[in-house]
Amino acid sequence: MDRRDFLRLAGAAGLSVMLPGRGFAQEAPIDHFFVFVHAGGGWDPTMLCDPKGMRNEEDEDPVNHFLTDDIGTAGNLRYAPIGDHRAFFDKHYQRTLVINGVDSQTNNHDSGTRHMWSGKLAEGYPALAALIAGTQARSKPMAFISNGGYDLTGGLVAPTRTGNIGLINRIAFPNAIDPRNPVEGERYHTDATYERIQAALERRRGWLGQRYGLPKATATQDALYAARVGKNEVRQLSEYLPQELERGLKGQAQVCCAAFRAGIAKTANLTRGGFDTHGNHDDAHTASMSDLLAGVDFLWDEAERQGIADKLTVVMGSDFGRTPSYNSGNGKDHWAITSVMLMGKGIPGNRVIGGTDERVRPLTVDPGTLALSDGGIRIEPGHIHAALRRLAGVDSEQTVQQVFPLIGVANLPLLG
Amino acid sequence: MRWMTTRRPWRPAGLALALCALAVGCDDSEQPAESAGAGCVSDLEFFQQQVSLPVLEADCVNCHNPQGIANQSMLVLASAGETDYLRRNFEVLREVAAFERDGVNLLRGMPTNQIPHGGGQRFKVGSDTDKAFQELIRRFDAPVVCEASSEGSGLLAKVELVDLPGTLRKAKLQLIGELPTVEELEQVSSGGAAALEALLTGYMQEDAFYETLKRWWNDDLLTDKYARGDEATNLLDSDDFPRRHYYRDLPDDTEAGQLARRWSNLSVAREPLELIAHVVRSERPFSEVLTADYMLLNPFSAQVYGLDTAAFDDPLNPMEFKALKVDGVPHAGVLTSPMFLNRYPTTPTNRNRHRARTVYRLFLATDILQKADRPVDPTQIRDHNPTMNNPQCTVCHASMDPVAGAFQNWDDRGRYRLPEEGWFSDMRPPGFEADMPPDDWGRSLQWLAGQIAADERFALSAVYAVYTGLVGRRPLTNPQDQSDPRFEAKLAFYNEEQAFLRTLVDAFQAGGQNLKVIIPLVIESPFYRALNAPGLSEDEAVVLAPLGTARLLTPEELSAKLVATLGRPWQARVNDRDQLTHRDEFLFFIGGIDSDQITDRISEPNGIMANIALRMASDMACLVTAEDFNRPLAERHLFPLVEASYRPEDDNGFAVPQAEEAIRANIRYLHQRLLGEVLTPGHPEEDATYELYLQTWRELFAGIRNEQVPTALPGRCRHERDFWSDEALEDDARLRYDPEGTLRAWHAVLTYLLADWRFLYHQ
Repeated sequence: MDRRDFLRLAGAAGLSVMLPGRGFAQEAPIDHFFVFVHAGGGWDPTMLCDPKGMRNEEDEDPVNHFLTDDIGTAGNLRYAPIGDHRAFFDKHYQRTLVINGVDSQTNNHDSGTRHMWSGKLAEGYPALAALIAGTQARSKPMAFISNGGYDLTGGLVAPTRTGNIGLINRIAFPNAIDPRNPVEGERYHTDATYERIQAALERRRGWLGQRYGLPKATATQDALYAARVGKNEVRQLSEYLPQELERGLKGQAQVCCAAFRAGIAKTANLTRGGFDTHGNHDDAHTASMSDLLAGVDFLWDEAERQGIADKLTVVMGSDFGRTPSYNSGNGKDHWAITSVMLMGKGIPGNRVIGGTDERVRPLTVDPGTLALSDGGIRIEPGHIHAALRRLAGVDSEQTVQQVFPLIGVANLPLLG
Repeated sequence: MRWMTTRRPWRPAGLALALCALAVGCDDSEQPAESAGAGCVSDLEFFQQQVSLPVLEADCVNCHNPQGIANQSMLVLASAGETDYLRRNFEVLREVAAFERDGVNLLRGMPTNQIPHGGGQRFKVGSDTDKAFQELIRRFDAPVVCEASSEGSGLLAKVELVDLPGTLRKAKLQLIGELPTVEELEQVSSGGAAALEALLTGYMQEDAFYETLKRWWNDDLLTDKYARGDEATNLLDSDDFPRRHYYRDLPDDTEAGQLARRWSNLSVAREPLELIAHVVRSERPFSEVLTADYMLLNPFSAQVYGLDTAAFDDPLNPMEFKALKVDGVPHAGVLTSPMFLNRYPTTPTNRNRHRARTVYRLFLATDILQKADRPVDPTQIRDHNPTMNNPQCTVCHASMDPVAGAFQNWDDRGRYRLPEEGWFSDMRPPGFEADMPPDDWGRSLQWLAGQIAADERFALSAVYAVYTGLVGRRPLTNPQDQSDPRFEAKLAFYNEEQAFLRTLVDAFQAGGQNLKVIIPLVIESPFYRALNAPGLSEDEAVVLAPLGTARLLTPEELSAKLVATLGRPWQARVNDRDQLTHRDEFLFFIGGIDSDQITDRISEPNGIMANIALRMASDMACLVTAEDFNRPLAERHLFPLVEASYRPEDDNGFAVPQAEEAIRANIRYLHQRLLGEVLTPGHPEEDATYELYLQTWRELFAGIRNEQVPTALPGRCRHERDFWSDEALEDDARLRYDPEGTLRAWHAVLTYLLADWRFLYHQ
């Protein structure tokens, strides 16, 4: 029995797998991957995709320290003239949608990160990455790869964290004594004995459930069993991992692309911190922003190399934004208004939705046309999540509707 | 017209009771201040059920919150997400109820609009809500104290508990990473809870217990971030501590040099954790973790700080700690530890707010940002200095900024530096709930430590930390979704846990804040011992979902369990890296943390973790089977009841009853040792494990006979070297062959048991 069969049978038999009593649709082959890139600490969209600049050197309270006249454009997108932004936007603007003036409704890191990636300011909702993986690819052994950020799963799926990826053969072939020769080399057990041990473990599960039957105990038994069913699929990861891994965001991108290529993962959180620049904002933020964009650019290159770029959607966001003014330490403090950038499959590129005024206050949009409109709707993370749920096809899932609905969130046609 | 508000005179209980005829749920007996027995509803329960949930949380809090339009009124309510919000709001209402205008109590006069109320009439005079408010006012005058806690959800009565010997095993493994001895199990079987408590008290004297304690606290403090290399000593200022790298100058071919290199940085990094361990070990008031006017140093960390080591009995003993002071520094326990101050740094504009928030979180059981759980609208923030003036900001900053000010004498690098121009004039002055007396500004953190120690939330934070460490989850937050059909049951279960935690706080305080007092109380409670709950309805199962301690063992716990049960960690040789706990091995894959970038433990297994568990089971079984059979029978950890020559069947396939009996007995022994399961002879689980043994042995024996399977064990599974001494065995003392196939059959059995849920999880 493979993991998919088990989950199907478990559902039919009413067995609980992580979330007792919740139904899940049968999983289709993965043809759409999602990567959520978190800029930790609260990025400054005016240093990225919503630049303001300053009119001249005499501007006493500028939003930015670059001149308005220097702001760059790529297609319909505007970008801050710092770092390697020009190269990034010139290369990717056609696949990129910018949503400006997004109201995170908080100045708090935890709340903002939660709001941005769960679509809900209040506690308890899973990250969208977990929601998608948990409803569409739970049978995959690395369905949701988390490199940090907001990764609450709501019990939908187990997150996978990666470490020294050089160990992957030892992980992928647990019965092989020599990981360098996992197929032909010595085994701990004969194949027949190994199968016998696993059959014995499966048999014992029923007795465990009766003897140790607290809801939490049975949920953890189910989780362990579900994790075991797909153990052999991990082997496929080793086929696609590069020999040498990069560090930081690029390394995270390599692992998730290899897992996507191997068909064992559906979503991933990538993170890059360093954006909480209460002091020395321009220098520190430029460095972090440049590294972030370099990482995302690398992600796309790696996705091309692995042949999955046409199946990939990337979402970039942060806890919240930063204040329009500089503080006395030449830094910028927390500001609830931010931006989100979306790229790739299902995303109408070369487009900007929403906006902010000259002091980074949000402008409202017409809910039908999305044109800037007084008295319209202020865009919040929930609106973007509603659109992404539709794009991923999880909005109609029973679990999503019943347990994690986005109540009162207007369906804006953000993605067409 | 000018309204005169006056504080009511104290009203004797008898008069208050005269109002009972109007009140809801009022006992009309002549019980002045105490009631007891079945049906008794305590004041707090009454407040929660009749006032807070249906009125305050559903209506009043919309305006009467720190950000709301009624934030300048007497009635400013804590949000339901805040720690201990119920008790705090109860006190706020008590204060409001102490006033009246023209003979009308303010608490019910305003919402009924008998006294003009900005929010208009919220309920009518004489309504059920009004009666509830009258009853609450009556209770403020004549408190009702129930002898026993409420009936709660009643669901705990349906829960089977682990028996006391099982509880002992579970607790000893968790606290000190050892299995109980046969004698200890017998003591508990015959001596009951008193014997259990006595043994637990003994375990709390062991060094291993303090390692567990430090791990619990590091999961919050995260100061182990600096445990590697020179990361801790690098944080110290070279002018303040010119000997911070003294160990680099010592010759590395001497014991002193080697020990100094090994221990100096680690001891500096762990100083705040060692202080916590020291306070608990010496049974001092736990508040000393904040009020200690010293640092806890060993000979190595003392030298880093340039202190005299003459006080130490053995200058090379890293386990010898002394309370020492750095000249001119007003120590305040963890708060002034350079590690804490660097782990929670500040910037010129953050102005210690990060540190203040951390203090609230760690030592006052308060997530200060829960105060601002409501949406913030930045476009409405146009005030000058909003953290002082705008309710959207003051909601948190009014509490946070004074505590931030108390860190005024410690700079961004954790150095003691008095600010040249004093504290910021555009911030609230240093303090905690009230301003700090100017005379204390030079020792501001010592003053703050004293204030926190006297706050009841400090005791709550200590109780929460112990409870979380033992039970494996934080205490429940109060359910807030009143539309949930299971709301009342969830609330009742939450109240049950809260009542239990309150008893822990009381015991903690009564015991002089000796942390050890509460550990046996948690271990003996159903929250720790819950085992099974047959026959629950679906709704009941949802309500009881948080109950129990089932969780994946941390890498550190799993490693300790391997040593306790198998006699060695997961590593082929003693100087190899531990496969579970080393950061370059499986640590991060299986949910471990580095206290730096990875600070949350993963509690749900994924496919990667499942595979690692299988490899661990197979590899450990391989490493220990031959090793254990190579010991004399009396010294074996795993196979004391069988020999390698015991075959279940003879050459002709006939059963060998004595051998089978011994094999089965050893299987029962292994179930007990590895899984904590006591199986009676003939138990189905014994049969299942025997069947695994038998089928595996038949396969191997047949293979050996027809030369398809070698008699030699795989190289890694042979016993050729003593693990702990790392010395090679004499040739004739080695065990390399398995001519009967029995060792490999046992290898399969061990793999099966080590991969089991009971072994991998704490329950």
